[in-house]
Amino acid sequence: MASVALKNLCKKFGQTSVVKDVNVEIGDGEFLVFVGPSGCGKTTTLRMVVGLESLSEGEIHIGNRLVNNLPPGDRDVAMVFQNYALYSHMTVSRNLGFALKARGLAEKEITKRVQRVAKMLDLEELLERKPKQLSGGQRQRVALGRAVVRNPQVFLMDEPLSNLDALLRLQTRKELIELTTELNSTVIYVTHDQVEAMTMGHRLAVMNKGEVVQLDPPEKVFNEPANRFVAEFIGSPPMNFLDVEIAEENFQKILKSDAFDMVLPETWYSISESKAILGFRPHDARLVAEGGVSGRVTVVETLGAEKLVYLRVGKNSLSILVPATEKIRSGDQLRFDLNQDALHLFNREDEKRMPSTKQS
Amino acid sequence: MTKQDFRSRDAKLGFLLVLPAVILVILVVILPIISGIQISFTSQRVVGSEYEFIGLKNYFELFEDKQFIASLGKSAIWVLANGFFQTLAALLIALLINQPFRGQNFVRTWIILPWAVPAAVTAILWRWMFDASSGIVNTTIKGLDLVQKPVLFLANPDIAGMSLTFVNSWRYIPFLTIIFLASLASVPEEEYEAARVDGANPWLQFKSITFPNLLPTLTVLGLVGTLWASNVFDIIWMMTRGGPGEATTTVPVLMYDMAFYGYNISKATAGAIIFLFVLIIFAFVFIFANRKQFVVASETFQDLSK
Repeated sequence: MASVALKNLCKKFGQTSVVKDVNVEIGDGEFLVFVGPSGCGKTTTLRMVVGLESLSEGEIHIGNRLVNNLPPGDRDVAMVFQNYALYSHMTVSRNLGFALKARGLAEKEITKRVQRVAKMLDLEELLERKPKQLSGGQRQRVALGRAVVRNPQVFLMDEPLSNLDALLRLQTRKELIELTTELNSTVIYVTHDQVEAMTMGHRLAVMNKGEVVQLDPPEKVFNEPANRFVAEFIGSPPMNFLDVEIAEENFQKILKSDAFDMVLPETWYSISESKAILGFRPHDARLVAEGGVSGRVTVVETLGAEKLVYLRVGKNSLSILVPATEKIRSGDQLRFDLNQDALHLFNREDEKRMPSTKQS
Repeated sequence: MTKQDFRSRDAKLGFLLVLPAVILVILVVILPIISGIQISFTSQRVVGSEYEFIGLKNYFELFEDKQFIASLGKSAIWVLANGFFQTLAALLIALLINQPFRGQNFVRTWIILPWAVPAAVTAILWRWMFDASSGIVNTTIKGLDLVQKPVLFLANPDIAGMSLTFVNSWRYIPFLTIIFLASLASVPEEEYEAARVDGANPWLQFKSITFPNLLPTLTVLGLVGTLWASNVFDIIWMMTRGGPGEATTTVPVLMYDMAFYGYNISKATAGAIIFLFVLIIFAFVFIFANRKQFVVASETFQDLSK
C-alpha cells in the first residue's frame, strides 16, 4: 500500500472548472472519503487519480511516483465502478483474473490468487457464472474482488454501494470496512451519501462546486463544520438555520431572532460580528414546559424511536427531534430549549463558521 | 373481458398486421419459386414458347455440365473472397471511425454514400476508372512508376475476379461499417475503462471486450452477407459479363446467360433452383451451428429497439 498526494489538482472542461485547486494527502492505509452533492467534482477527482481523466493542472503522486502522465494500467491502482463494469462476456473467474492476465502472470498463479480472493469474498460457488446471472450484491462482490486480487497500491471506489438496496448496502458497508481494515488498504472512496462517508472514512474531504471545503475526521466535520454548506450536508436530519442578530446587553451577548432572544454562552464572547446565521441540529433541541423557544407544529414525521417535528418559529421553519413517546400533533404549540454547547454560528457574508473559544 | 379474450384479440390484430407482408411474400417469392420449379421440369426454351414435361432431365444435364460445376466453384470463391474482404475492411473502418476525431459525425453519415449509388453507376464509374489507357487508376500507378505496362483490371482473367470483388466490396463495406458501428455503440464504455485500469493493452481489450460483443453481429452478417454475395449479378454482368472467358461467371451470371442468350430458360431455371437449395442448406447448417449467437443477436436487437 502507498500514500497518495493530490497537489493543486484542477480540471477544466472547456471554460468550466469542475475541480478547483484540490490539495489532499492520503496516508498509507488511510480510508479517505470524498463526499459531496452530485456535480461537486468528486468523481472527476477520482477519475483523475485513476488516470481515466487528464489533469488540467496539478500533480498526483502515488507512493513516491509522479503519475500525471502514466496510463491507468501503470499506476498500480484498482477501481470499483459505480455500475461495477464487469466484463459481461467473461465468467466471474475470468473477470477476477483479467488484470493478472493483462500483466502476463502465469495461469497457475492467476488461478491461485483468484481462488484465494473468491474464498475471501464468498464467490467460490459463482466462479463459472457470467455477470448476467448474478444478483446486484454478487456483482458488487465480484467488482470488489477484481480490485482486491490485484493487491494494488491504492483502492479507488466510485459510489460502489449506491446500486444496492438499503439492507444489503448496510451489510456490505460493514464488510467493506472489515476488508479494508484487514488488508490495511489505502482507499479513496467517493460517495454522495453522508452516512456512508461518516461511517467509513478515517477522514472526509467534503466537496462543493469543485472545491474541498473541509478535510477532517468525521467527528470534527460533524461537530465543527467549516461552513454552512458542510453543516447542512453532513448530518441527518439536516441542521436548522436562522438569521440572528447579536447584541450586547449587561456584559452578555444576546442572540436575537424575530421570534426569540437567547443568551449566548461565554465561549462565544470573542466574536465581534453583530449579525450571524445560527445553526443547530434537530437532536440538540429539548422540549421544555416553560421558557425556551416557542413554535407551532406544522408536520410530525414518525421515524421509529424518535419523531421529527417541524415547527414554525417566527418566520422560520425549524425541525427538532423528540422521543416517539411524546404525543404531538400538528397545530400544537411547543416549547423547546437548545443545547448551548451544540450551537453553531456562521458568518452571513461568506457563511464560514465563527470560531468559539471552547473549540480547539 | 377475460385475459383469454384479450389474448385472442391481440392474436387477431397481430395476424391482420402481418397479412400484407405475408401476401407480398407469397406473390413475389413463393409463387415465382413454385413457377420456377414447374418450368425447370419442362423443355421450354424461351418465354412463351411451346414445351413438354421432361422430368428431371434438366437437372441430370446440369450435373454433367462442366460449365455449371465451374460456376458453382466460382460462386464459392466469390462469396468467400467478398465475405472475408468486406467484413475485415468494414470492421477495421468501423473501429477506426469509432475513435473520437474531428468531423466524426460527418464521416459517419457520408460513409454510406457508395451504398446509395445505383449499381449501374458504380459499374460504369469503375470501368472508366479501371480503363487501361485513360483510367485514373492506371495513369496514377504508371505515373508513380509502380508498373511499366497498364494493368488490365477487367480483361486479365487472373485479376478480373479481384477487381470485381473490390468494386462489389466498395459498395457493401459502408453498410457493413454502419452495422458494426451500431454494434460497437452498444458495448458499455465502462468495460473499456475497467480494462484500462486493469492494464489491458488495446489488443487484449479488442480480444476480450470488443470481439465477444461483436460476435453475434458478425454471425448474422456472415449469413446475410453470404446470401447477398451469392446473388450478386448486376455488378459482374455490367463490368465483365462473366468474362474474360468464363473467369467471373458465377452461378447467377451463367443462369442469366443461359436463359436469355443461350435460349434455354428451363435449364437455367433448374440451375437456379439447385443454387437455391444449396443456399437454403447452407443457411440451415449455418444457423444451427451458430444458434447461440443468433439468440444473443436477437436479444441485442430487441434491446436496441427498446
